Amino acid sequence: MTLTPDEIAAVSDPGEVDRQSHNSADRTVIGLGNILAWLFPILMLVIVGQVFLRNFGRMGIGPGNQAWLDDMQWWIYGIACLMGVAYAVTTNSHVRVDIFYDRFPVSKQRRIDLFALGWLFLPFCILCWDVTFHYAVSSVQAMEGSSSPNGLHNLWILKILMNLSFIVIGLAIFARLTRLLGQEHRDDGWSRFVWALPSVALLINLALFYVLWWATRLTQPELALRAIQRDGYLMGEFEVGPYESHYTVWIALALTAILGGVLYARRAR
Amino acid sequence: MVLLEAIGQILTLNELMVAVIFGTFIVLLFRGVPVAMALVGVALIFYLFALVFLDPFRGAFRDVIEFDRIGIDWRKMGTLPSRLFGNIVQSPVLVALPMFIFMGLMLDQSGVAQRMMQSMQKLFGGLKGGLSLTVLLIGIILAASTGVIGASVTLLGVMALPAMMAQNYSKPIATGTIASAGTLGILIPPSIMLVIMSDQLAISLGDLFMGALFPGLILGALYIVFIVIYGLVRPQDMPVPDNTEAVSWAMVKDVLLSVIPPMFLILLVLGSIFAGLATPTEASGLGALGATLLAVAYGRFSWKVLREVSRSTLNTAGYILGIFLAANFFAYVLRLYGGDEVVEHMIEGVFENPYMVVAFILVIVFILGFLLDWIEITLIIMPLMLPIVQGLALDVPDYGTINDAQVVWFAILVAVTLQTSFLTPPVGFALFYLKGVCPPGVNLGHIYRGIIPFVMLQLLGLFIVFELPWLTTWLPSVAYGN
Repeated sequence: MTLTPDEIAAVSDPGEVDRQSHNSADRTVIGLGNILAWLFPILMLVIVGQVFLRNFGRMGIGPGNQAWLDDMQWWIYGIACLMGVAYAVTTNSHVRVDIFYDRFPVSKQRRIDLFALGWLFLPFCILCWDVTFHYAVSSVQAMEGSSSPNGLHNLWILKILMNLSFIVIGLAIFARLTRLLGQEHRDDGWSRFVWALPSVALLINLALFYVLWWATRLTQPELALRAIQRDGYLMGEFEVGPYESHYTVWIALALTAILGGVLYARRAR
Repeated sequence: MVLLEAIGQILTLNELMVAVIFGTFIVLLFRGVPVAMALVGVALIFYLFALVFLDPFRGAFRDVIEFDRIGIDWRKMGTLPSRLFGNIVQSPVLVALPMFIFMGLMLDQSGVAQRMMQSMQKLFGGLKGGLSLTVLLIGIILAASTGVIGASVTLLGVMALPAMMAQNYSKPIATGTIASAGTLGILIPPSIMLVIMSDQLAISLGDLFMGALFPGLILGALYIVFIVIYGLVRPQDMPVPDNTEAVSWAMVKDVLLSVIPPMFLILLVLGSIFAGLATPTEASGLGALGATLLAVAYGRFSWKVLREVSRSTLNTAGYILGIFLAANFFAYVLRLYGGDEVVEHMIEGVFENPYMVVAFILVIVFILGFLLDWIEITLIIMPLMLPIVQGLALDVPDYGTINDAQVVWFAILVAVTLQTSFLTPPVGFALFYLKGVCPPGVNLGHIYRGIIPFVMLQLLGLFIVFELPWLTTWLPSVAYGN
């Protein structure tokens, strides 16, 4: 097959490559990315608009520089690029050193990808979601605004979006994990558990924490918000050897072990 | 413990751990784990390791080896979101990143390069090495109007390589010319690499753009001189086709007409910065619009093109930002381990002379360039080197107008050195892209041989920039002096 120079040089749609292997979660991420990709032409127009406004403003024509347009530039860039991280997970375009990887057999390549996604990237993502969640909540409580008086107010919206973007990245990772396991014909619960073990443990820990936190909050409304982390149900700390550890962490580890045991017993043989 | 005690004679535990951290990172990297995931993975592993092992048992370690407490607890994670938000999302400079990517992709779609190729091929057809010269000139012009190399190398390879093969050019010289010409895109401004350096080193993007202009053009000129001399010495490697037309004014006019549109784009981007009409970030938006208008003018624009360029921008910006997020977290954990000081001591301890320190860093970057690409080097290595370079007494003229003149000079030196990282095997972006579009009969061996003279020219260019610091700092001082 020979291609003309134009055909080879033409950009292709990254979301369409390998489309037949995508599952519905993959398509959700791609679809969302396809919508948010339009932010780039919009960003271009915002920047050009600002340049014209300012330079005409200097000549005394029009309203001049708009601080909110400056803020809007990095709002758009931030949202679109965080979405891009998720998009690049689904299209498998995160940069890697491929001198050895290219020569590995396909199933070994998939195992490396599974490890990178489930054991390294997904735990980071869950952790980021958790910490940015608190960050966003405190921003909402303070109704945080822009640093410049005419800027884009309601900075808390952007912080919530940053928090949401980690959910999208997490979804993209999960979708690709499932896709890779399917290609390896190992899409039973036990394999999923093994390939995402740190993420599962972390998720159980987080879920437990929030359940207990809200249980305390709803049943003991007189307790101060800050005190819940210390005095809520099962929230205390205790000492084991050199560690100060939380009950929740140990319970979560035990739950993870039980879940693993159940999935192992039920795995297809 | 006995082993640790032996190590304790020469290293502290922190130094040992920093070496282990980098070692683990390199192992993961060469297994093929994506860079961003290897970075966050290593950071998480050693965060946990310090939390459950190093810190609780610090007393036992201190009996046998020197050890500074890492001081990790889960509450420290609380600073992560403000670092991510403040350093990455809330960054007016990084806004330029997706815009320059967009501009480059759109320009490659616009057909500007094809038009230049047709007209220049006719004009230089009768010269020895005419096709190589054409490729170099287009490479330089494209470089000054885009900031990404991937598409430029592909485009030049697809356009020029078949023609060069048809004219019986030697395969190494043909592939070497294309790879090095395409690589100039990341050095000659506008360039996304300079955008990232400006963010990482906290120096003005305008200074970097203006500072990189002369070094980039010098490198281009070196390539051209080399090709001309090569054509005289070994004409059989770059034969002239049999049926060349005589040079006519019509051909010259054709070339000029084809060069005007990209010149307009260069003027729009660099001119608006130079004239103070736009900040470098805003120039990226102007450039993106300019490239789109060129595509419209050449009749290549359609909604489909706009859509696919936007989506490709999303993809490229996404994987670069992924490494940003990851490198930020990695640098944070490395700093908890005292990695900054370890690296600083290591490099400062080697040489007394500040210029030797800079040269030593450049040698490290050159060697790393064989294995890593510019993104990893600029995001992981540069921030570690910044305090070292700031502390050196270097005689770089700042003409009273440039802040951190020696950091600007250092950044440009690294940028020139990184040119080699695109060409040096086993890992070189330019080689990778070129390999993808090679016609049958051209193999990696040809490409590897072809890049050798160009890597040497790049090192010569580096030497010139190193010896004459005013080449870097004079232009920015003029641009912002008035």
